[in-house]
Amino acid sequence: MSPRISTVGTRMPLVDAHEKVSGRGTFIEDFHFQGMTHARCVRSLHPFAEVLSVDFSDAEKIPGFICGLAPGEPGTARKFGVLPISQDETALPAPYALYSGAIVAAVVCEDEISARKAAALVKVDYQVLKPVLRPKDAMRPTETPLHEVTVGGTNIHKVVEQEFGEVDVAFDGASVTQSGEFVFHGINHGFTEPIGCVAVPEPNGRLSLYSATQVPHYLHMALAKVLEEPMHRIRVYKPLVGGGFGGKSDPFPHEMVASLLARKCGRPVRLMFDRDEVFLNNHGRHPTEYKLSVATAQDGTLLAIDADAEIDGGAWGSFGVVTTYYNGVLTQGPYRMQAFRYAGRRLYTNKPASGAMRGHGAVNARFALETLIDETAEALQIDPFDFREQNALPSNTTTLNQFRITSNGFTECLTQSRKASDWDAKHGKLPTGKGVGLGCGFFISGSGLPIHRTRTPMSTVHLKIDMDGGVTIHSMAADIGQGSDTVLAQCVAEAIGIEMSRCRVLARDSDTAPIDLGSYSSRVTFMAGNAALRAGEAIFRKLQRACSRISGLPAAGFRKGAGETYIHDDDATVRIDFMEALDEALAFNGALISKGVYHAPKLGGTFKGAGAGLSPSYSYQAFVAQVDVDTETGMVRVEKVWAAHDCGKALNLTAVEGQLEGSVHMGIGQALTEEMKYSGGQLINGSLLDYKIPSPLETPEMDILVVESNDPEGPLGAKECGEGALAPIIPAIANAIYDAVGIRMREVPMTPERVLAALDRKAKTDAATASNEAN
Amino acid sequence: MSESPPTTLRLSVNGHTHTVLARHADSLLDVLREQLGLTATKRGCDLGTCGCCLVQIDGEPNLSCLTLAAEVEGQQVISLEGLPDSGRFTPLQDTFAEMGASQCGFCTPGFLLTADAILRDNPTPTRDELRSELSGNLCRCTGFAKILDAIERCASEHRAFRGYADAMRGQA
Amino acid sequence: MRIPDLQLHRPANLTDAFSAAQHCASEGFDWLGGGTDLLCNYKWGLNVRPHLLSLKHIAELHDCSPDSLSSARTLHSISHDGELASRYPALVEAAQMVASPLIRRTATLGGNLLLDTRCWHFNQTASWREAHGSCLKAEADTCRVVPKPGNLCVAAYSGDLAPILLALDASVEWVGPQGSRIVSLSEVYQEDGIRRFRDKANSEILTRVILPEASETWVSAYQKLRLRETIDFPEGGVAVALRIDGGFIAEARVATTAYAPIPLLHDSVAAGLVGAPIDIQDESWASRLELLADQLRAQVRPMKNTSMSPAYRKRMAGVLLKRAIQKALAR
Ligand SMILES: Cc1cc2nc3c(=O)[nH]c(=O)nc-3n(C[C@H](O)[C@H](O)[C@H](O)COP(=O)(O)OP(=O)(O)OC[C@H]3O[C@@H](n4cnc5c(N)ncnc54)[C@H](O)[C@@H]3O)c2cc1C
Ligand code: SF4
Ligand code: FES
Ligand code: FES
Repeated sequence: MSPRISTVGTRMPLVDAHEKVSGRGTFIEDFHFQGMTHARCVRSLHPFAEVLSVDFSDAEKIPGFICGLAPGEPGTARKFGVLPISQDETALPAPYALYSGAIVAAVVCEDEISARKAAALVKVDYQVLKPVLRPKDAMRPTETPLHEVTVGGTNIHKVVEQEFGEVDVAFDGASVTQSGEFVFHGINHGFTEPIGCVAVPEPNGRLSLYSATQVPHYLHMALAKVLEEPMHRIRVYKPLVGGGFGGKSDPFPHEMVASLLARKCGRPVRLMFDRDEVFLNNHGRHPTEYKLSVATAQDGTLLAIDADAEIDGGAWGSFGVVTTYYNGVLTQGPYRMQAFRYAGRRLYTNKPASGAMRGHGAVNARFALETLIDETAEALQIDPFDFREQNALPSNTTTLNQFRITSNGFTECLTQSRKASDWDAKHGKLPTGKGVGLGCGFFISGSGLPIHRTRTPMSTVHLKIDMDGGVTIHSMAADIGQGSDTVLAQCVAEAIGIEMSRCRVLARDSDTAPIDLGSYSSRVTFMAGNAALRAGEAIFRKLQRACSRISGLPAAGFRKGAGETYIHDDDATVRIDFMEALDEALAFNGALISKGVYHAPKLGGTFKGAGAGLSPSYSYQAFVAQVDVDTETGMVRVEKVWAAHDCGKALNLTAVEGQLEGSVHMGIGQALTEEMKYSGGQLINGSLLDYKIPSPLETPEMDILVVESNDPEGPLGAKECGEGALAPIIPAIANAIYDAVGIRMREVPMTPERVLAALDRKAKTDAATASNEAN
Repeated sequence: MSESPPTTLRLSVNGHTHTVLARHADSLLDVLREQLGLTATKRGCDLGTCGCCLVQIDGEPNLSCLTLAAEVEGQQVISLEGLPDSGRFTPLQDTFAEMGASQCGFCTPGFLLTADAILRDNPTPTRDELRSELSGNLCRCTGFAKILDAIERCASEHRAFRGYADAMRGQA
Repeated sequence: MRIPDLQLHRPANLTDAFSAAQHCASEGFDWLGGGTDLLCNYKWGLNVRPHLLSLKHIAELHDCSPDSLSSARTLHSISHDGELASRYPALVEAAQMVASPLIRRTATLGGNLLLDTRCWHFNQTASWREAHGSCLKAEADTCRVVPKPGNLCVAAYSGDLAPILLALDASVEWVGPQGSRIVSLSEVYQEDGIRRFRDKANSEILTRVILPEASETWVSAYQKLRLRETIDFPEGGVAVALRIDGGFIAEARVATTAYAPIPLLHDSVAAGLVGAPIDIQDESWASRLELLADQLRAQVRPMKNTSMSPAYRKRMAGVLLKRAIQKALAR
């Protein structure tokens, strides 16, 4: 009997691909409800101000005006936030507006145009306060800290200090020490779909919130808190989401505002952002100053790193506590080291909040580490690949900070990208202006701890199969384009031994879906995938028993055969069709239902902060970039990228490659063109014209090298591939620039101006050296 | 500012004539989405930068966010909804779906209609030509790779390629 | 985003257009070309007029004559015009560098030449301007870039076609209710980011761009500074046109864009090209190129109101010039 043909490792379209290419999929702005009204936000004109009063009297004169929402109204000052430790956001100022562009009031009208007119007529009286704009200023004690809970009366939000091993001893004994101070500007997720939501009061008194969110469960919890309603009185519905990348992973003030307005006016309220408002909402990557030193022995053994990060959190906490830790702990791979010290501070400033963004917390630190490693390798005259191979973390080990390392394809990543890029023929050998560089990476595959202390599983999946033979998969894992619905369908189909086309994923509605923590920290494939697999296996066991009843053979001997059949180990002639088995099972049980759950295993140490960065598994990367640097203009062109990534097992090659390609594209943006620019406290480039996302012409050809280490705990061996791949491309480009023209970049994005300035500095030192030598 | 009341517009969209009440200041994007309920046309930036709002007007790709609805009276507007009415997908749609050229799907309608026009003018574009012809469409998910692959595949297989406009003419 | 209320008029010919213009004159109007510049500004609530007069349906603007370019031609059609490319390759290349392929489908030649000036204090939403403080060009009475009383607006003219058309010595035809006149493009603009045109009546339409026959024999090139190879407006642009005679440059014209509120001709830089050999390998070129580059750098006055820094843009003016010369001579 031929074995069943599995879909694992093949190429498949996403389960909702045709919904998307037909244009019929429903995104948030596509919803229309009977009697729907339109809300507009009024935004702060000042980076820091007390809102004294809000006057709707002129706005009320606009025909179609329904009502407004102002600070002081019920619910507007209830604190919420994605992390229980930083519940510092409010729907409206209470009473402080914390950044220029923060929502300070809102209006609802019969139509959008009236709402826009009315919002423009709302008069807000402010007491303007002196804003804190630079992280340096946030360090100082102040009479008016931005939030109740800060460190010692300053605007410091969070301080992290960690040390493992004898760092000073390691540095004293090192042969080579490289240090650098790095500057990173803030960047935005730049998803194509603007943010928005529709709040719908239901006839039975409940409230439904439709929202473009990647964390429906956390949104649900925050809504319950702000609305002071039990969770079952609220329903959260996640439609198709046009990209998230972390930018839709907080419960947001506008979601509270729309819900409060809907409750106030008793009608559905739509609140859509314009693109500039999406930039003002931000929650993107933290602007960061990163200081790093790397100590290495003469034989090339990496001894220790000493890091210091100052991250600009903007107005709110968001995921910032996690970011503060991640900037340190995610340097603990993919290299072995003997000692590690990290100090990190997150500061509150009067700017749009920073938060989680693809590669959360790892990206800027990775840039610093990978460029200093490149310098170290050069100082020791070791090839950058050899240096990394020599120091690679092995499989099945523990890091200094007690991360459990299991599957690890890092050295395979190195081998593949070295070969594919023809590194040995290129590095140091290309003509001036052209160069290659290597950057590596390490990322979590789901956070090992839930954000909220809870004993419930991190992911639960429910299945139902009735007589039509279709499988309904219930989950609240949020598909935001990354393809999580497809992973769930595939895991279930594999576990039951059926075609994926039988599966329909309902992962949009909190009324039907079991709890899942949502799409962040690259957790969905690993956690929800495992839950789906287990739910499917439970159904399979029921079908085995049904087969046993049909054939009289022992249930345990049934396995999945070709083409939706079950075959038996003991009798090769027995072959039971899925529908036949199902029919028998249904007769016995009624509709088959099952559930699967995922709990992360107990991981990590017991020291303070030991939970940060714990993951049931980690991904690994080794990327090579080839660049061309125009020495007259400072323009850098990425000509080609070779990207090797260990994703455990590629369940669906098309989807894995797509994630890696998208990550590389986004990384190139951060590396070369993207930057949130401010004048004082005001964002000046909040548009897709002025915030420069790479176009197809700035995005090079990519050679995607999928490395499979078959994770022992991942669903069918899989682990993450959606985030880790963003980080390594940035240092790969920087190291390639060095190979091309001999400059070390310390500030990102590496714009033409910054590259040219570095070339000027090099020319000056070269000239000085030459004249010294001449003397 | 003079308050002009909405006026009646007669628009031909996807082969049907619609009479809608709209302001002269309303963009075609606004009218398609809000008045006609044709929501396949997406609003990404509303300022001409992203290509999500692309439609075809008399067969030409046009950004509907920078086109006044009142300007296109008398012309044939085609949005992505225009074709699947026949119950089938175009080769481009199928290939986009099969090859992973659509992840979140938000940019997809714009890319499909752009690609449709590109292939009509140039049935066998090189990869570089494709990159530059697609350089008014932003996608944040795919890194463009699978989009380029899908269009190339469509072109190379010479699959009976019918542009949207031609297909509409066939339908009418 | 929603454009504030206004009334659209769609005249079918010039006569109707001018009577509509007269009718709307007291309330105020703008001509609407492709709208890719104007409608963005309208969406931001910038200087919105109660009436828009569309140029799209005016029959006379679509009459093609072989010796001139209609102002209604889209940049897409210019970009793909093989015949034009064989005569004025640099013009076609410049058109291909404007905005993005999708914008070029509707963007017109006329709109490109008459494009509004740009400044990051200005091209923003109404609430942004309110927060930041508005300026002379919108709702307030000071310039945020050079906040001196009596100062004119220094927003940057950022069209890509004007410099190459200036270098080719193009003229434009204005047609108004009183008749038509042909004006050298170099006489069209005046150095004020707000009142941008010299002696242009609001009711006049730019109907045609006329290239002198002789310019066809010149060699020319346009170089553009921008971060992305698409979408972005020029942060600087330099066009060069050269008449070659007997192995030497006999006449030259050099023009820039994005360095001032208007596109500018740089006659003294051009004069430095005359007499130079066309063989760029000639050893006299190395120092001449650097000299000219520095000369142009000294003449341009980029302001701190676009995406890149003025110092960088100034420095690049020289690089763009050198590359434009090299490219033109290589034709
Ligand atoms: C994202 C984006 C990027 C862009 N990038 C570039 C770029 O790189 N380079 C560049 O040059 N431009 C760029 N533009 C601006 C614009 O698209 C082009 O300049 C285009 O050519 C303008 O033409 P239009 O027909 O759309 O002008 P419109 O917007 O219709 O008009 C512009 C102005 O000219 C007036 N006008 C138009 N035609 C006539 C006429 N015949 N007679 C009298 N007045 C007239 C209008 O009243 C208006 O004041 C960009 C625009 C956007 C949205
Ligand atoms: S240059 Fe001055 S006046 Fe002109 S738009 Fe900019 S700030 Fe306003
Ligand atoms: S919405 Fe029209 S181009 Fe972005
Ligand atoms: S698929 Fe998401 S933006 Fe293109």
